[in-house]
Amino acid sequence: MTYLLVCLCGGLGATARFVLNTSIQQMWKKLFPLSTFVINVIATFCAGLAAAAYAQQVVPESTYLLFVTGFLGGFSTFSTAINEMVSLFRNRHFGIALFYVIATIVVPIICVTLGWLVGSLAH
Amino acid sequence: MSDSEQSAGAGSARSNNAATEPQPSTMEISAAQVRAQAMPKPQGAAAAANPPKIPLAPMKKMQARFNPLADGMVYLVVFLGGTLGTAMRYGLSFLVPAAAQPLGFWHSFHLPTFIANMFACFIFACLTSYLSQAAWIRKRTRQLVSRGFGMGMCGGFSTLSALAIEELTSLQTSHVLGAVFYLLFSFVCGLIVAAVGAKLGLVLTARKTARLAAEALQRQQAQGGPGRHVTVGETVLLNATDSAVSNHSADALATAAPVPVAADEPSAIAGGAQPSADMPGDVPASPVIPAAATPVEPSFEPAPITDEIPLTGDPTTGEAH
Repeated sequence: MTYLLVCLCGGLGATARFVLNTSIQQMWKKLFPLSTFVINVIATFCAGLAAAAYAQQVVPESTYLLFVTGFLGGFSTFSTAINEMVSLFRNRHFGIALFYVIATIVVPIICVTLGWLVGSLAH
Repeated sequence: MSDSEQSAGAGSARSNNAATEPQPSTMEISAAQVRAQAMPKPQGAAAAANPPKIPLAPMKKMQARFNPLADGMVYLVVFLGGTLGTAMRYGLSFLVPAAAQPLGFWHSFHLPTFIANMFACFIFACLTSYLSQAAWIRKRTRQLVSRGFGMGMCGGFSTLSALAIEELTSLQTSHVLGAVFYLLFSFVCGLIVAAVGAKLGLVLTARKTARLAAEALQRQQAQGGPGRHVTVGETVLLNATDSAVSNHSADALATAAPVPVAADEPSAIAGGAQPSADMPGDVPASPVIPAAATPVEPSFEPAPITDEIPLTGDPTTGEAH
């Protein structure tokens, strides 16, 4: 039962990503793939927040599982980001591609730490 | 049957067209005219530096073909794909032990997340490059498959938030080296795997495209269709019977043209030997027969611009130029 709920939360996360992705793409016309980046930033920040809440026993494990493994797992995406990098490299936009790679490696770690700190402070 | 014969026929046909049509100088189109027609310049309010943006009508904003956010089918497909992807990732975490080793350097290497990410990268890259080239699939189908399996399933299968949390816990337990290795290894491997997947997708489509082209060519040959398959730069002759037919029509055209034939006839006869036998019989009747019998070949001259010539009035004299 939990398994099914987690999967449905993942579907919900994917749908939320579709909505956010399309909305950002309608506004952002530049080459840099801002939509995926913003999605991953939000997802990792929320993941840090949730991890802090779970570590301090604010939320039960089932909620954590639903939210992090389900929703945030479906919301954040590694494959899209990697493929955007590859297509940027293939189209010879090396500067943007390199910047995007470094940003996608560094910024999520900062975000998850930030989320953790915020979650710890809020308690 | 050779190429020279075909080119001779084409040459005579062209000369005939040139004779029946008006003088080329009268239909000359300047490069500026062509450019002006090809790239129309905005006029009126649209020519301003910041042209006013006209918002879409409210009713049109609700329609899927104007607004991707109003496409209910895509929502459904993405939801199902995301559910499937999450099920696969969550199931994988039961099948595969969470950490590669209980202690030490490999403790921060989380195998389920890594495997899920790599598979998702590969499938996504392969699918995207395949669908981008697969012109034989309907566009709507391609869009739905791309959204469902690409964005939904692969996006739900791969995850960056789990990766980030694993990094966080590794850093908190001061497995810094292992954490950094896991992160960089994931990205490098992902990039390589995605590049291979994209290449594979392109190879698959290239193969299928070549096969479809060969099949289409064979089908056309079997049906004995128009006979000529026009490619980018040349006219390809498919089989002997067709070339004979076109040869005959070309000769009829050659006889039809009154004056310029004199220059073209020797080459036409030199190319095909057997049609020269019935040539003398045709020559006297030439003004009557060809006009009815021969199909008018398309002219390769650009169509003349038949728009009205804009007149500018001269207020002093009252004339318009």
